[in-house]
Amino acid sequence: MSEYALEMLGVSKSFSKVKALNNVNLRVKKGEIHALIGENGAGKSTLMKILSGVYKMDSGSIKVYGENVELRNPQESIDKGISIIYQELSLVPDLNAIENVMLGHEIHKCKIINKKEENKFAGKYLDYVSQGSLLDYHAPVRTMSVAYQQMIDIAKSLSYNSQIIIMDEPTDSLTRKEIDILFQIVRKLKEDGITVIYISHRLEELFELCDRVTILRDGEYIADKDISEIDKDWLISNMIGRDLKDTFPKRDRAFTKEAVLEVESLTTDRFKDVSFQLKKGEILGLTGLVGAGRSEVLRAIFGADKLESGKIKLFGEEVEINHPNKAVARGIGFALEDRKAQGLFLNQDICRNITISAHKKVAKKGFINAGKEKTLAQYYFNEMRIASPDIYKICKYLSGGNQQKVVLAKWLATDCKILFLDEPTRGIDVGAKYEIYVLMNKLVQSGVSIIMISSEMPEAIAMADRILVMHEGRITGELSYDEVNEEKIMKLASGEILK
Amino acid sequence: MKKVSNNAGLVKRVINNPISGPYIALILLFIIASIASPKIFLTFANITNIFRQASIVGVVSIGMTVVLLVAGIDLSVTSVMAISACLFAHISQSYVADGHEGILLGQVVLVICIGVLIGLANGLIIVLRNVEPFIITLGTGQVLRGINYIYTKGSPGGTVTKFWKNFGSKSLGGVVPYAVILYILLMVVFIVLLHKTVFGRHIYAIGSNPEAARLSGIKVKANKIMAYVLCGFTASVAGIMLAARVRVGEPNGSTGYDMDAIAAVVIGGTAMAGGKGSIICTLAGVLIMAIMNNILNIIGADPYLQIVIKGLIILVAVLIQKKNK
Repeated sequence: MSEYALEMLGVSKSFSKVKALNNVNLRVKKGEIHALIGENGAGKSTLMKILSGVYKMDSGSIKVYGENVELRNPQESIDKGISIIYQELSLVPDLNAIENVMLGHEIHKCKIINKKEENKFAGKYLDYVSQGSLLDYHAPVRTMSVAYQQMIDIAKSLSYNSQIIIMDEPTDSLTRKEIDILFQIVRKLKEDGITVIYISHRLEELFELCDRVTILRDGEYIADKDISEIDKDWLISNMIGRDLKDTFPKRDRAFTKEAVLEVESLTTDRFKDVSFQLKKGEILGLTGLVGAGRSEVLRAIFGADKLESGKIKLFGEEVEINHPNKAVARGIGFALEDRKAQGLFLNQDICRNITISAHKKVAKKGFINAGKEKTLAQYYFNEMRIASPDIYKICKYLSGGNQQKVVLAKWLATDCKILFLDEPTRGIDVGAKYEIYVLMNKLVQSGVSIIMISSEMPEAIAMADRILVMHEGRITGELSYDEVNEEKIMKLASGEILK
Repeated sequence: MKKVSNNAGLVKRVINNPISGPYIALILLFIIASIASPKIFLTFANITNIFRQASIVGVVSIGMTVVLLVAGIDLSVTSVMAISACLFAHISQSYVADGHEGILLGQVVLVICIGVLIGLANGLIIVLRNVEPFIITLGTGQVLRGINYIYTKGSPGGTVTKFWKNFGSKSLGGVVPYAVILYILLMVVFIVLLHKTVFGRHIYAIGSNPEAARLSGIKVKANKIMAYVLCGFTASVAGIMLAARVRVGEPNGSTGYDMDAIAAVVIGGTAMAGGKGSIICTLAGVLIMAIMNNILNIIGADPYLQIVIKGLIILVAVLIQKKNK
């Protein structure tokens, strides 16, 4: 019998012209905790989606416990004993723990659910995972913390007799204590012969928890090794594959002492007492864990959400911004996280998308000057090097990177003096990322001030002049570019105080 | 990078253009109708009649197009038309008795203002309370209909001045009906409004993605309210045109115009989800419906059958649209 629980060999997958995976191998031994690492865009998600039956691979083979399998849909994957626990948990918020565990394999007679049997069956798995720490199996899961929801998700996988459990960035929203508890659970699973594939960008965790690691980079399989044979530096250099200095352009620091934006004691139900300044020509990084309140702060300043209390001073003048219209009129631009839903008009062409907020430059007394509109769009189209035959292509058909360029072009076209960027390079290929970094450099050189939210620490560290870290709605610390490192950011982001 | 156009490419581009669909259907329908009844359909008098019939629905459809572009709908247009027609006819009565024959501009403006106010009321309720336009306009339509019945005691009444009588029945130079000229004029104004102004850009943006529109600095609420105001405006103009045609204020005379207008807009290719469509597209829809009505009358089809056929056309048009998506 094979020593491997899972072998994915020679897996390739392309989306239109983009090759997401090229001949990738993943070999996971029985009962081991196997780490799968790589940068954003390396192909980890795609590989796991193939394994869980969501995508079909273009070529390659998959063997589960030595048996060749075809995973044509999620159900077939579950039937083979594979389950995946996502970052965005897939529980139904209004159902309770028992109901969520039983979802899809309810115990019923003639369609009438046998609650007693379900409580017994699901309770077994919930007990195993939570060890009594989960108090109420009958409360709606929306009332529970992320950590407990995760436990329920794991219990659900076990109730389906999963032998291979994939965990996708499970510790992103957990506190240190909760992470310890999760690790205990994972080790217990290993003791009982369950195989775990663990995806995380937190390298320290891998050394703490995992047995072996597979590294992907740009859709290619790089290596797999025993954790005991390697160290963090080896991991990083193989993950990135090139000198860090080639990923980011040299920062030409351009900031001054002049504060273009000052906020004092901003408060809503998502964050409390947020105060900071944005200096002219500065790139201010805003980091923290998912849910820390970063996007919410910028949204409130921009007028997209309502502020409960606090003061905003723009260019030295106290202002009230209760609608994005006012923010835009005062020279603020905001490229939000979800560019398709929040930044683009997908059924319209590039020209329209670029000029939609810049009516001051293309219209007089409400009437559009078509020539000026075209010229403005063409100018930024060229500046941003948007890959498209012309400015009349419908934005729906552009790649993620080009769509992001259109969004940025839209704000540049308004000549805004302050630019908010929320995860500006998410889901974008490496080449386009670099172009965006270069653009940010250029912008601050010309006097624009930027606040950038980023969950990618290397990006934040390389690009920001100062970094503010948030934790659960509060700013926990400020680090300048010459004192910042990943460890300090992570500590502040988890709520610890730096000495 | 210049795109090289050859003949095949041109044909493809014409077919892919959203305007083409309804116009191709229109041309086909025209051909079929001409074949079906060459002696009656294809006469100058009949074609003129088609356009004259189309113009009133057409005017309502203009405002309806704007509302549909922002993913809204207005089912109160029938009542706005009726109130405008009856009010206008009633007011005009005393003036006619006094010997007035002219346009009665002041009274026209008054009636149109009422239409505008009704549109404003619709818009304010729908947008500020964030409620379903379908239900709200259904409700306001009912309220207005009832008020109109009370006001007119349920029966036609009033009259219009000579000017308006001529407007409703005569043509410019004996060729183009005045009603049609007004329709064309309004179309031009709205085409400019939707395609050449900032307001127009905003309307299309709101229809395409209201949240992105808001976050791009567009005043979504104000623009949406304006769409309903414009719909009220065109509905009341259509009401006056109706009074001019039948020369009385008929409380029931505007029945069916809401459905016809919506049908025309949808057949023309304006999506009910908003963001896609135009006045030119709606014109094709209006003409298709008008020709349909006309040819069915000519061949003597059961009037109730006509209702069935109209419904089928709407279904087919929407399904074709969905398929092309």
